Amino acid sequence: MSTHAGDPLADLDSGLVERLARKAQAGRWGLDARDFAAALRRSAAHRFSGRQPSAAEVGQYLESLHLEDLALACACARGSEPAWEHFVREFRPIILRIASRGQQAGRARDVADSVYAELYGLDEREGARRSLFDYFHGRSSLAGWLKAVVAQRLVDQARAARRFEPLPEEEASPAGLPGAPALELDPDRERFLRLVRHAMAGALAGLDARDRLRLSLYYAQEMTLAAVGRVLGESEATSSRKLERTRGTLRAAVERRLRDVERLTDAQIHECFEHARTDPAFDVQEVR
Amino acid sequence: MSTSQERDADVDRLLRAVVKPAPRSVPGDCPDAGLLAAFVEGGLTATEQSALEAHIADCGRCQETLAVLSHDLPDEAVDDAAVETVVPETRWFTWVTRPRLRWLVPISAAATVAVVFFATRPLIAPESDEVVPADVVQMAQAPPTPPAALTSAGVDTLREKQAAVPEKRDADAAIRREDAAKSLAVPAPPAAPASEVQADVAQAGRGGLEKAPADPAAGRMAVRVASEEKRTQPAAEPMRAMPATPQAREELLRLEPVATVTAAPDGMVRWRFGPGGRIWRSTDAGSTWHGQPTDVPADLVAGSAPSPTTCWAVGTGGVVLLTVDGQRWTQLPFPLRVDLAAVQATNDRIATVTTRDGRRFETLDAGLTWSPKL
Repeated sequence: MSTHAGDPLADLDSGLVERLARKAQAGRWGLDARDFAAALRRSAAHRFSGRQPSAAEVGQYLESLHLEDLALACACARGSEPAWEHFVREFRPIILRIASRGQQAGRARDVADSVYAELYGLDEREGARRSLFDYFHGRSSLAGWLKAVVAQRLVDQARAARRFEPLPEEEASPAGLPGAPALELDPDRERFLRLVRHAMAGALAGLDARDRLRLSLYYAQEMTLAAVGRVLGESEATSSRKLERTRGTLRAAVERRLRDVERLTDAQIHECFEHARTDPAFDVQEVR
Repeated sequence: MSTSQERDADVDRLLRAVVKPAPRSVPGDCPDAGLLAAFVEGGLTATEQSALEAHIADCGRCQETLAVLSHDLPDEAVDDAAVETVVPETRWFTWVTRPRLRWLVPISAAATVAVVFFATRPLIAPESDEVVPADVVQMAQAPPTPPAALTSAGVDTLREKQAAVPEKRDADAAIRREDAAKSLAVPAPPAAPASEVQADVAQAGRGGLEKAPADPAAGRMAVRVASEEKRTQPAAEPMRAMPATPQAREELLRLEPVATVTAAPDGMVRWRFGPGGRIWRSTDAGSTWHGQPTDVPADLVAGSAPSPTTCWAVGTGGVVLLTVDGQRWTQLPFPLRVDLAAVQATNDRIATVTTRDGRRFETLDAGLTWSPKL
């Protein structure tokens, strides 16, 4: 029965819910229709947070969900035994596998066990068990969501650990190391470096977010082209081609600024690139 | 004065120096696991996708999360490059599959089969489970194609053919090799379309990374040019030896070998390396190949063989492998967990490896210790 007349998020069409429950095979896990409807509502509320969607939008969104996975997660959160048996058989290996991708192999099991415990719902609030499954909204596959959950835990652990580690030797500036070759004294060097920094920072800032993301994944995260392509839904060939294009765009933008704004000659532009390339401390983030 | 290509290479080097992991890592700002998972699975709306890209482009935490996830994603991304370049063929296919023209399909298929049969009949090698003959090597012995194939127009045609082939794996493997080549400290090859194929062939002639042609005609041409190169540079003539049996070919293509190494000094022993720690060895100059087991999951990208029984191989994640008997491989400790791009070995104790970002490390004691090499 409707309690919020006209609110498509609160008043899901019962026919739609029934149809989605059938599609999700919710009956397999003995999942109560009200529980499944609540999961759908939660998912829609999360998706349309902060605005009021139309009934058609809500219907379209719910149809697009990974309904079978949502039903399984919902049933697990409600403690269904057959659902848990299925989950343990099909998904626990995925958790362990992705946990082993972390940089600290010894902690893989800990991370996996911790996530597993949260899925079961060790956290009790107001007398009710709160399961991590409640945060699965069916927008991705359950396997994909589990991987992302574990990956975020691994990254958080690694970042926390890095805060307490001394900087690796390789991060130190070679210029500051004893025995490092003395930099050639060139009166224009500092000016040229400053100009390239500004030009490159401006060029990077002018890129599309997707191009900047591709650059970061490739250069900062040192992912292979194949991996970048997998993450961005592109083929390896496309990632390569687009990176190439971005590099060309950056080069053109830097040269244009140096030539048109800074009034440098071609020879000076060449010197700028040369100085920037050979300067061990060159870092565009200084000017960001 | 630097050329345009040199400046492109400079930009690549600059980016390696300046694009650092973003420091931002406020968990509250980051998308939840559900959104990230939907992002990599392509389940977001265009608006959501753009918003997430804008966040992740500046967020170190999310980038690192994607890096972890990338290892476990299926390699089944839509090959939009192939889609783009195959547009004319797609239109042709749409046209020919209209109901009233469907009768053309079986006739065309039969004609294609006949042409392929007659064109390749002398080249078909006996099938064997153990031995994998190399029909590309045999193709090199086929009558040469007309010189016109090497004109600029011919090269353009070849490039179009390569681009139009919807076999993602060939393109991906070629790009991976290109990527590995670019990772070395040498300047990037010229980007001009007409010279690219020649540059690739010349690179193969130097015994470096090979670039596999996407179709038999391209293969014939590349091999022929390679053999011409060989006259002036007799050191090596790496070729992509494709097995004749469908199962073996399928397996080889699936594994995407990325580098071939010719052993010194006789040139008869060669190694081939691929993803997932795969290694093959040939003792007859690449005519037949035999797999060699390793326990590493890394993608092997390069090798160096100072003798017929000694070979070093390097790959992603700082993996360095060594065999001293030509059969069994041992993983050597390497201090950094970085992707390696190249190795140059002097013997079974001395070798220099190059990381993807251009740093070089040398060992003088078979990998027990490594020191930076300037």
